[in-house]
Amino acid sequence: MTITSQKIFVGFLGLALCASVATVGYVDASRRHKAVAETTAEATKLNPDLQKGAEIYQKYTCFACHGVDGNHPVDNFNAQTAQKVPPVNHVAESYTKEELAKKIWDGVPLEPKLDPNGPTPPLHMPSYKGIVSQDDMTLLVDYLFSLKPKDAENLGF
Amino acid sequence: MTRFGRWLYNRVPVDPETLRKPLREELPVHLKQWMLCLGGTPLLLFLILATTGILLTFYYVPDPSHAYESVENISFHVRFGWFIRGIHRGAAQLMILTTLLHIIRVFGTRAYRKPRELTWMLGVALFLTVMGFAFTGYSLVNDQLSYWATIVGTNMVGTMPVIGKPLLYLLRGGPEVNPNTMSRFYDIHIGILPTITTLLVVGHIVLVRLHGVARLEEDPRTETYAFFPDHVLRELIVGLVVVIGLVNYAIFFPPHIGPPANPLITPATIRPEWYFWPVFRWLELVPEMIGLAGVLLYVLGMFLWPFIDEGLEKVAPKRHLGRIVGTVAFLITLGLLLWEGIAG
Amino acid sequence: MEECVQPSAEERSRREFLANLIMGIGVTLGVGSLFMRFFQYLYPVVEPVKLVEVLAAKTSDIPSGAVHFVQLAEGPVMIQNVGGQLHALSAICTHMGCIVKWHPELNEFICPCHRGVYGIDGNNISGPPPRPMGKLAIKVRDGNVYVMIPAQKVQT
Repeated sequence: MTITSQKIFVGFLGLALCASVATVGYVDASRRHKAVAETTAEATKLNPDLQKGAEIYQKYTCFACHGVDGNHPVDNFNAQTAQKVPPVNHVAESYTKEELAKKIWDGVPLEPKLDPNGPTPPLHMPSYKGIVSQDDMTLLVDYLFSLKPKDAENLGF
Repeated sequence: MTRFGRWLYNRVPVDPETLRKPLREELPVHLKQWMLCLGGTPLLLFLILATTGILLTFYYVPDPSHAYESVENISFHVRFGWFIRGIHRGAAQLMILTTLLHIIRVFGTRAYRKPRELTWMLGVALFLTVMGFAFTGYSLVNDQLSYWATIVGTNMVGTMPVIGKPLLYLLRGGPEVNPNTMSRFYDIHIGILPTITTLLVVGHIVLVRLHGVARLEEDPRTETYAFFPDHVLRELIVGLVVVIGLVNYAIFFPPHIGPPANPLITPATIRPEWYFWPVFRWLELVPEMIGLAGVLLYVLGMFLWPFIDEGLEKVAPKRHLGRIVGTVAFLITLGLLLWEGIAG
Repeated sequence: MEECVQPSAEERSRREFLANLIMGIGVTLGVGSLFMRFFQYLYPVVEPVKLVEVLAAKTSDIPSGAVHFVQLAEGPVMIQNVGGQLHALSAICTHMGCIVKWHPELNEFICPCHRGVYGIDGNNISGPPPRPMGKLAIKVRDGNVYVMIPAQKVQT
């Protein structure tokens, strides 16, 4: 490559960088979860008990793995749950309130592997026994049940 | 000289010729190979890491009760926080990779031979500071994996005979991991290591410039090309490609955060990041003392390699024993890494 | 072998100039936009001010033409009835923060500290005050007068 063509190449690389940085700006809004209070306010629509449940969801940082709205879980390599931490916005369809409370208190010490010969998934559900009180658990479970999307009555899958 | 030039020269009495001379330096033409740009890339990454690191300190809180929250804040609430953290992470991974590739290149081209042994040793020291950065930085996130990695890592240091326990206490600021531990790791990460690294980098580059570029053994060409603008343009191209790569890495692989650190619950699998896998797997395979001795010997061997290689040359001239030893060591390290990665 | 046509010196220098220009613009745009993101990252996002209703008086307290002083927990307020319309002004003097007094005989607010004078509409007429009295929004409901105050200042 001649010096001149190298310089032109550098110029275009600069423009490519500019384009990438522009994409960063475009993507930023979706990356940032709205101030948590806003999201929970939407979810609970001023119902004070659900508000308390939402605060418990915040307090024990459940959102860190399950997402702020229970529907943006983080990756969990080789986990049977589609290689992601399971979302929690459909728990009302899969558990009774007692079953859900038990699951949160017991935790899941070892997440089942998707590929049995593969590595153990790095994340697992911690046990909250002795951490979440009986009263708090009731509020939390009610809140999680309320996360079910209104029009997702019987999705079948 | 222009009027401004003369004004400047009166106040900074440096002969402009001394400044212009390095720009006209002629470099041997084998330097045009892209694998030889691997030395400049860690330097660029160091600057990127320092910049993004300083930006991160604007929002990060180095206290166990707030650290996790502040990282979560950066990753999900601060405008472009995910971007800065993403570049920092990507640059850290790339830094380790390019440093390793650079070491392999220098090893393969035997550029460490006399009189460049000191340059090599400064380089190995730099490699160790890079690993130190990676270890201390990772522990600052204070999620489960990060917390337990700190415990396991410092425990390993503690098993060393004689100096193990005092070193453990020094690192942790006490027998157990406590709030002081995070402060210490933070200070090491943003104060002590950057200072040491800067000094080592300056020493390393000064030595390289003083000795000039080493000749490639197998390359008989004697043509040269100019540092400015030819080589500078090549470095610019590499630099821009790296930055574009990092920006897109941050876009497509934004940083995550695991569940917050819980001292009462050990995760089912604690595993360090990929760059510690060889050591990790090695220590799992052999008894403690042998494992530690092995690691220390390996690092010592890396340090003193130019002299070891010289010795090997004297013992068996032209048999390239050095290359064989190096290749074997590399394959074993790679093997351990893949073993841990796949079966771990 | 064909003879290649060498570009003239003029063409070569024009190409050089173009190459330098493209390189300069490209790198500046690329690196510049990157540093702009760094600045945006550092600059704090300021939340818009939310206003909260604070009960100040009853409409029956303020007949037409009257100026009614209320000391709320959040600060002193002058509520005035101008031809049936209610207005609220902050009674804090814009000079040094003393509380102004309404003088009905002069139809003026006067600050006792440095003799600043404001008209009935709150405009600074004479004396040291640099700005008119602050205007506050008002809501009237069921015979009650509410003053709108920034949420952060509200004492609950």
